[in-house]
Amino acid sequence: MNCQDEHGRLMELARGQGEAGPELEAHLAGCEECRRFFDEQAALGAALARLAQENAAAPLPAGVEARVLAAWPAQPAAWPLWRPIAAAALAASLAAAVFLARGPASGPPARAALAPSVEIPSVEIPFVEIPFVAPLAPYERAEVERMDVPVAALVAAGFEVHVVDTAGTVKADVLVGQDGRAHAIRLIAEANR
Amino acid sequence: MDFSSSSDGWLMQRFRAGDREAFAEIYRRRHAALFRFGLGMTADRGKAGELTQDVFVWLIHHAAQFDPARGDLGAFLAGVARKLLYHRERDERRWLPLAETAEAAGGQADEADAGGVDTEALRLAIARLPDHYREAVVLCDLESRSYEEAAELLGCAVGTVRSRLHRARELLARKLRPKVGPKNEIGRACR
Repeated sequence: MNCQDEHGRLMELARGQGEAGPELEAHLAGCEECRRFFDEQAALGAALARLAQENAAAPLPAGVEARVLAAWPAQPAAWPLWRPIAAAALAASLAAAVFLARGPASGPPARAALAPSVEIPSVEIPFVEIPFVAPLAPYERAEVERMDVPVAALVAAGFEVHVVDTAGTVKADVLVGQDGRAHAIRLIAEANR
Repeated sequence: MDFSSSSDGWLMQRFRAGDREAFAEIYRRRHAALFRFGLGMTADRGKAGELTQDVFVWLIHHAAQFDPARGDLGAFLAGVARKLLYHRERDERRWLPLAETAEAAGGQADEADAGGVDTEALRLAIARLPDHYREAVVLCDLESRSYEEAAELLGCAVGTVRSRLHRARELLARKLRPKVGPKNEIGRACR
């Protein structure tokens, strides 16, 4: 019997897995090296069991649960009163941006003029309604404008925006109705810009 | 609402729909196992607490990444904990060479009482094992997971887990052996 080959079985035996069998028992009785290996592993197993018990009894540091639950984002239902005002301001600023981008000419812009600047995102991100803005009428035509929107305006309107610079702007597609009002917005993933 | 008899899958659905109480129940069910895993891996209660916190804060923002078809929530969260832990450790760059393990472990083991191996020495020795060996010991010997469960969590073969665990236990025994002396449990066993 090769001692090295038996160490795997002996270790499992020391972990309480499997049975030795008469052949291995006979070998253990006559081989000091294997006996020592087994005893050492059995002692290590006992120490590991004690450590597992200590770990199970160790208390979680104070405050972890409170910090985890505090990380839960504010829910839309709990929006304060100023949120509609901020949302309206966002919609108005988006409408102004659309107006400035299109220029004073009346009538809808030529689609050919928009086409080069608007690329279809490779990953579909749904539009999110701008709160407190009347929805589009079923017959109303809408267009998508891509523009830079201030992060602060989005945050104030209740959107959750994860950016490093909250004083900056983010690229977004804005769904604009026939009357120039912004109805919905979707942020553009960085990879699609 | 009493969620105590609800399944993890249902809780996750509620959580994704914005139910804070469902999330709180998931936390209550799963935080202890994650904390134990962190404690086994780091030998540091504070770090284990931070890891537990990081996992659940991550979950708040990435709940959609859990796919029940690919495994249960416990295994998913343990996988997240593992990745966050390695990111954190890479950032901290506090690895000690394995050679120092015996000194650190042995120094404390000398102070162990006659009752056996000092568990703090063992804790430190585990925390300083190479990653693959460390997680095999923590999952299989401290968390009592089967080889199959550990293999699924680690994304490797069952035989790989077994061989890593055996190698880890050999290293631990060797690192604790020289300084432990005859008064220690392992030392007595070696006589």
